[in-house]
Amino acid sequence: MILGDIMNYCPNCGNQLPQGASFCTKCGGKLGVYQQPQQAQISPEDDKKANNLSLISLGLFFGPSALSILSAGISASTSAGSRITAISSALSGVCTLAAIVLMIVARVKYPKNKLAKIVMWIYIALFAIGIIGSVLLILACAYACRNC
Amino acid sequence: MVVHKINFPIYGIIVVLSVLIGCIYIYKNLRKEGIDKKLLLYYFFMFVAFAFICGKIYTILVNINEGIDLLHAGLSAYGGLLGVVLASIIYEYIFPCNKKIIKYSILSLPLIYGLSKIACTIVGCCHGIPYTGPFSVKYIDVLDEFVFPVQLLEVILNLVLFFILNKFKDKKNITYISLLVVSIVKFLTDFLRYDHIHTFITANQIFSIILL
Repeated sequence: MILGDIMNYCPNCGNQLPQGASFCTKCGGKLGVYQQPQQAQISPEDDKKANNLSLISLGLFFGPSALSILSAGISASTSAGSRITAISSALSGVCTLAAIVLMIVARVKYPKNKLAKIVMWIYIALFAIGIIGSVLLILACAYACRNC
Repeated sequence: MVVHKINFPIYGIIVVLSVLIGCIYIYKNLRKEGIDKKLLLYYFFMFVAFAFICGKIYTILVNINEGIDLLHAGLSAYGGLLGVVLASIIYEYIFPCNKKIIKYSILSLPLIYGLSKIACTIVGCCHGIPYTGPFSVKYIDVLDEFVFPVQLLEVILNLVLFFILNKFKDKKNITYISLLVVSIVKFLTDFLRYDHIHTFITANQIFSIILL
């Protein structure tokens, strides 16, 4: 749960506290620091919100990237086309970042939601493939250039 | 000093290690502040993504007429720096942590930047203006003249800056002071870079002024 501006109650256990307290006297939780929700089960409304966040995240991650790849092929031959390619690439980068932020929000606020967990693992897998692919490419280039 | 081309992907290894060391520094300090481990792991995922993608977006926008796409764009250190600042502000906004995430992320910037400049010192990229005085260096296969070792200067300045700022990390307004000092150092050292020869002001310097 996100903490409000004035805290008279501990966000963790609900214990009433004097203003300006930095620690809860009952549970010992540090105040002013975000605490992950401790829920046994997720409610249907929260599940729906988490699913929506996850789907928007997936849309932002894959949609603009595909458009960016298409526009790079179509418009690269002219100077105006080069600018369009550059701007669409920058926008797809921004959308990718927004997708990652939404995924993290869904995972932290609704840790029990399954779709958010799947989306998280998709991004981790893509990231790992990217890293392994880059390392293999670097090693292949280094091997090919060993006698250069 | 003459530096020969090194046929080993040392640049990538050093950059990755510098980011890793920066993340360890942030992690240790934020754990001491009582931030949840899982929250930190999600933050580092965002930290790396923002540093990497913003580094590429910066390169694309600075070279907008060349029409570079995201896959082929190079990584800009300054873009990465801006990405880290942005990631910390967004994360702090969504999951408030008394601005500790912003504080330690910004404190780690001179450490990460200074260590990553070791890679540039070895490989020869981002080299300095033509110079034949003491400590001048010549990079074979990069440039046919001796240049100022601006990358080495950046390593020393940023690491010294990091140790000083870390010593005063509990002082008030240290976050703003850190960002201010890092921007000033970057602005001034840019005058000694080769890219600055025929340019009045570089893109990096413009962004330094914006940050200030």
